Amino acid sequence: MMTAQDIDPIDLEVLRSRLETVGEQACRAVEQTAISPTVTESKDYSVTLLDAGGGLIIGSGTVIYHYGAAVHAVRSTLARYGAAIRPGDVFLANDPHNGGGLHPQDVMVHQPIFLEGRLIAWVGVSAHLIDMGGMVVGSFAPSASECYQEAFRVPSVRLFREGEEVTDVWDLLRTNVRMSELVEMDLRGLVAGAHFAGARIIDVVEQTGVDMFLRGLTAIRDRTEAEFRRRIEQLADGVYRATSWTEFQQEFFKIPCTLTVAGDTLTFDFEGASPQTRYFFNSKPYIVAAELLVMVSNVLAQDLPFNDGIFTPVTIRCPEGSILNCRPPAPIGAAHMHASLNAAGVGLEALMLALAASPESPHHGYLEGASWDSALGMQLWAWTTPDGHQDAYMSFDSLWAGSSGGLERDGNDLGRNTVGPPVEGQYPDIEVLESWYPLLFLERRLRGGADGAGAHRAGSGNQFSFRPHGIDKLHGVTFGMRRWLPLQGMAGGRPGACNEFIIHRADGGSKMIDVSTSGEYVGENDWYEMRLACGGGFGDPLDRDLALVERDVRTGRIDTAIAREAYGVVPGDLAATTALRETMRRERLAKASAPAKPLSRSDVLVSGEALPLYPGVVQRGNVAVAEASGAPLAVAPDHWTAGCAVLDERRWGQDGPDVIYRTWLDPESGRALGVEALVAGEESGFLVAPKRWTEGAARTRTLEQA
Amino acid sequence: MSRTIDPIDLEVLRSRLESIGDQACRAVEQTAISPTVTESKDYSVTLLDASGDVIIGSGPVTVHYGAAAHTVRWAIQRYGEAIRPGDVFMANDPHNGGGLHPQDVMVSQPIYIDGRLVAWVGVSAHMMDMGGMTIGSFSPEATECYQECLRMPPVRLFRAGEEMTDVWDLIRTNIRMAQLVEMDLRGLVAGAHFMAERLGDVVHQTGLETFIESLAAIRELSERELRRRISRIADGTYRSVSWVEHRDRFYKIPCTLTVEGSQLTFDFEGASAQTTHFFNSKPFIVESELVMLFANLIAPDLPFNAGIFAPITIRCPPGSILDARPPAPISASHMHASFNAAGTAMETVMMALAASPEAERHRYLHGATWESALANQLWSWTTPSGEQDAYVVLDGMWVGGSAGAARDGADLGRNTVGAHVEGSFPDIEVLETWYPLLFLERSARDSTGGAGAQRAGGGNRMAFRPHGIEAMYGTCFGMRRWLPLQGFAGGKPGACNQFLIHRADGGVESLDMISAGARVGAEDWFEMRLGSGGGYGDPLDRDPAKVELDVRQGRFDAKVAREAYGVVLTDPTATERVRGEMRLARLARARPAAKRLSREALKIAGEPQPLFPGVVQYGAVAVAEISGAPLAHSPDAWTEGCPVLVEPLWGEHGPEVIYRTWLDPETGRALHVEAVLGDDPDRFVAAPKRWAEAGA
Repeated sequence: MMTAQDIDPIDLEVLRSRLETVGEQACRAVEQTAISPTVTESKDYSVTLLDAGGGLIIGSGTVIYHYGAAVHAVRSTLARYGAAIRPGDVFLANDPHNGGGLHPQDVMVHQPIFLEGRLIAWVGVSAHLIDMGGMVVGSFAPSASECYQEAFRVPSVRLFREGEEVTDVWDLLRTNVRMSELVEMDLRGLVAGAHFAGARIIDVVEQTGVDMFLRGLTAIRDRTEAEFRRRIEQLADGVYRATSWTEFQQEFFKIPCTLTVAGDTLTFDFEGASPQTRYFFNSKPYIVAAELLVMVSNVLAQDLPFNDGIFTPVTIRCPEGSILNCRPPAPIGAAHMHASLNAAGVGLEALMLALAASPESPHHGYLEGASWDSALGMQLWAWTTPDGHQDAYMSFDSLWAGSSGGLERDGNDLGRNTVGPPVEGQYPDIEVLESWYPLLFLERRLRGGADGAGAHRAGSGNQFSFRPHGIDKLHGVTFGMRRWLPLQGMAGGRPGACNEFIIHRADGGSKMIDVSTSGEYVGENDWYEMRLACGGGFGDPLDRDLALVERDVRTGRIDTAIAREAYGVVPGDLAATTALRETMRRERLAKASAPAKPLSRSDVLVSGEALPLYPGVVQRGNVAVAEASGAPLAVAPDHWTAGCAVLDERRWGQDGPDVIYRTWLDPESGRALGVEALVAGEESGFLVAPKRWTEGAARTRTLEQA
Repeated sequence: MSRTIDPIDLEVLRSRLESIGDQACRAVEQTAISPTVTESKDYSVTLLDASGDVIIGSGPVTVHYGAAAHTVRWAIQRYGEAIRPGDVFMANDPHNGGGLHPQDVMVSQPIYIDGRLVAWVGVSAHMMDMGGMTIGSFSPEATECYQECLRMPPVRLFRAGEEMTDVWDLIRTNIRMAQLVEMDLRGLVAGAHFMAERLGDVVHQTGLETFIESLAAIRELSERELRRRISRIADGTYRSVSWVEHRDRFYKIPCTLTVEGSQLTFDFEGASAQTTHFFNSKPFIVESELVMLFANLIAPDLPFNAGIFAPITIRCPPGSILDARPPAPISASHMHASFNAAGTAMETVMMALAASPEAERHRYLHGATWESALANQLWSWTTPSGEQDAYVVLDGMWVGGSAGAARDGADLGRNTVGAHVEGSFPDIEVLETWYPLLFLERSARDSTGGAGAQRAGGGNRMAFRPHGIEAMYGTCFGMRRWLPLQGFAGGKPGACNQFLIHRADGGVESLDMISAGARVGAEDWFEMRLGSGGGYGDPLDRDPAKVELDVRQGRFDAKVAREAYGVVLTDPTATERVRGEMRLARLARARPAAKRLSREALKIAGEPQPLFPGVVQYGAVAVAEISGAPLAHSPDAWTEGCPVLVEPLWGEHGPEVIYRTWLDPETGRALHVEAVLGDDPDRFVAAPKRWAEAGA
């Protein structure tokens, strides 16, 4: 009998490409049958092909986080219905507590594909529906305290049963959602996409034969897994930890992630995450996995097919009853956003720490600050049309936070990833939005500013404004993140900007509103502005190339005051700049507190090859050394920050919560080696402990004892 | 084809159907598990014919029967030919074929005999939760129906006998306390199955054709007799006005009854537009409630079936609070507005009966019905094991009854005639066993309102506290905090409802009738003081001996005896004097009559015919019956000659509710008292045709 390895690799790639094409065509089918701009313009949808057991084959469409949710939905349906699944069945699920999609509005339509009576594959099609009922229009309910309030939650049920429409289920849907005609059309678009993909897969299988098809899927998957494992092996074994907090107004919920790299496996453990809350952003492990795996794959495997083989080497642990693995009645309306994206982002920060310590990895060059996904500034605005109907606009422009600076480059503007595809949706066209919605758009541009400064600075977030146009009022629901705790940079770069939502009143007054709230309104003569966040910088801003700072001033990103205060730059004057920067570094040391364990050059014998421990910090033998100055920082197994002077600065003063920027300084030069954004009273949240560092210490001790 | 069916056979059949309805009720009670069903008996079983007409209703919640007819008709329209033996439908959305309100789910099942659809059964009960933004699914804070609960148009729980797991899964997912609710729901299905089976037994004995013809005959008998009784009510126009409250805002509900031959038309033209509050309603709900109240009075002895509905037309303006459209919230669709409408309509019926000496129920006159003063609440808590649980306080229904022409009002929400409308008293011991609550008191409240020659009954006063839990949280959905029920014929309006939280530190907080989120801690206690209906006749005409009895029994004290009744205890002479002074004082304070008539200017002759209690018509002249004072000339309203006493009820402490008393211009006797909003000139009308035409 032939094994997977016997398949001609060209045939395999032809099969893979054909399936990718089927997925893309199904996407077109969805786009051409759905009607709301959320789907047709913002492209908030996906098509996922899965094997008979629910393993991911190929995902298509822009919302790549959906692919893992499709896996979860299909596996839940298999568990619920088992042998009762029949050709012609079409399932729908949206409840994260019960086999649902990424969040309740991202409904997951999924259909088994049978050939000659045999279940050979599944297709999952998901899109954001503008409303799924519940206490707030649009179904994001920041004021909900339990899941029963939020939306019509659908466990896996049949929209069609053996080809026959289950009218009861459709009637229930139509009754319980707002704008039901629109939602139904979009939902039928998803069903059309599923039917289309199913028919095309059958075409493919009829040509390849079932056996070849199934073995081909296994082979593609196995090859992906093998190559992914090879790349993981290039990462330095060890333990890496990063921490962030999810906000609700001024309350913070801790999300720490400990990454263990061991051979060809990665384990992301969220032990210590806050207990589930009464807020709408509780989440589920499969959602964290769906998001984190995409981010990990963007860095390590953007050239590999994204399929089940990417999932296998990665283990994700979310403590039961925590904000990342909640139980009913915990509300879950934003299950895909605040907590889960924060978790995925923190997981990625841990991976960055591992990459920084892994010079062998070809992906070492992709080092960057925190991912922009956990700074989304989402919102939905609703109104009553002149003929008395309700309508709503989900502002996808609020996805476009600026990205963090990286090792070799500045961050990107407006939410673009440097590697990998963009994660969610696309820029909707303003003309289309204005023709669809009674809104007048005033501005869409880069926000600019001092935040996210670094040797490589962050990109800029979207600054966007609009007003009602032909209606008397807009009612807003905001469900954004990071009003108070910004994204972190890396390697001494400053944290980014926070999100700001502002209502400008007709009388000239203005009002900053919470990023998670409901019940705000924008009147006929008012206007609304959002200023989106950005990621952090990379490297000490005082090391930024003078010419780059001058260019930023010329292009209007920053003014000369910021050039001076954030970057120590006097434009056009290299000598003054050098002197100013030196003064600023000295001032930092003067303001800083002493290292936990001061170490002087005379205390240690520094020898051996320099191995990277963190950007700007190298390991030489059992000593961590600041790379630029040569100052010794710590002796293994102490953390390398033990010998750094510590500068704590309050971010908000009297106007906000106690958020601290903690800068770890080179004790000799005053260069910023690392900057954290922390909730006051919390310990430092990051840990860099490659095995060769921690075990180097053990070996040294063994030698001493000998 | 029409055969003559032996009336004995007919009555035997009807009794058998009634009996299987009662048995189906037992089946529900013995399979459902929540005290709402098993103790408070908040359920019903309705048997309907193939087209959805009511044949017989069973179970305590008689206002469900009309809702069952609505649901079955909706299911027939939606599913038509696709309806199959073994189908079981469920609906709860008043906007889409649902039950009386979303928690009163209606399970309905077509009954096939020998392959032919011959009947339907509808089984309804109050489910503890149907999801939505507030536990228990009454959402005082909701502004649209999408927020309130899982709303179901008629969908199939079973299809040709097979369980629709998809629908059950959706229900289980979207409601709180799903295991409890599912058990109750399956109890309703059991009741429906039971009914279907027993009906098959009956039909197989009578034969299908005879059965169907008999149903028509039973219905026909009810209708014919009801029409005969309506014919004895004086043709004419009768109007009453009331308002529904949401905190201190009021929504008007006027009703104009036209009696014409054997036909009654209740027209709610002028009702407020639909609101963003949860008590918007639907015509079928107004009908279910109004027809039941009407039948209780006029036809308690007749079988209640579609024949009772036939002579009655109900008009609710589209888009009004009584005929709301989505997205209007409707989770209390069976309470505030609809009960107010039904109650206001019954006030018009009372006026018609008062003018109809021929009518059987001419002597059953009384003030406003207590249903529109319900003051229910729901309390929820977290059990020590972390589960959510809740208690619907059906004791909030036991308002004092209005007084009648021949009797004082009944205590604690009992009707004087007719079947009881909703539920029964839950046993305190059972409640305490089931819920972590300690009950401190349940008693008839002091009669602080509803004074009259016949006084109103006392409302329920009940108090309880958390017991073994740390706090309970309340959702209140009561009525009439500010605008009381009216009495009749000069009796005073009733008492209003009050909800009080007594804090451990001795403080007392008053709760809104409609509110969510109140907290009663482990050391606090909650007290409800229910309101009452109004009195009947001028309180100054109450027999002093009865007043003394009331004082002895502790219904009120000597001060109330003096101030409300003009009675000086044990001193008939002083009483006579005080009463005389009080009547004169009224006249002194009153605004003058619109058109003062003097005895000299009028010729009063002929037979007196009743126009209103205490007011008679002599030809074209209305006369105060006791004093003989002329009041008005046809076609003017009889009140034209009455001085009007306007008294604000709340002063600075509440909204502008006034008592408007129409006085005998000579004696100062109160002929009628209205409770109205201060700035609204709308008022009652009692205009039998013979009066309106007498002047011509």
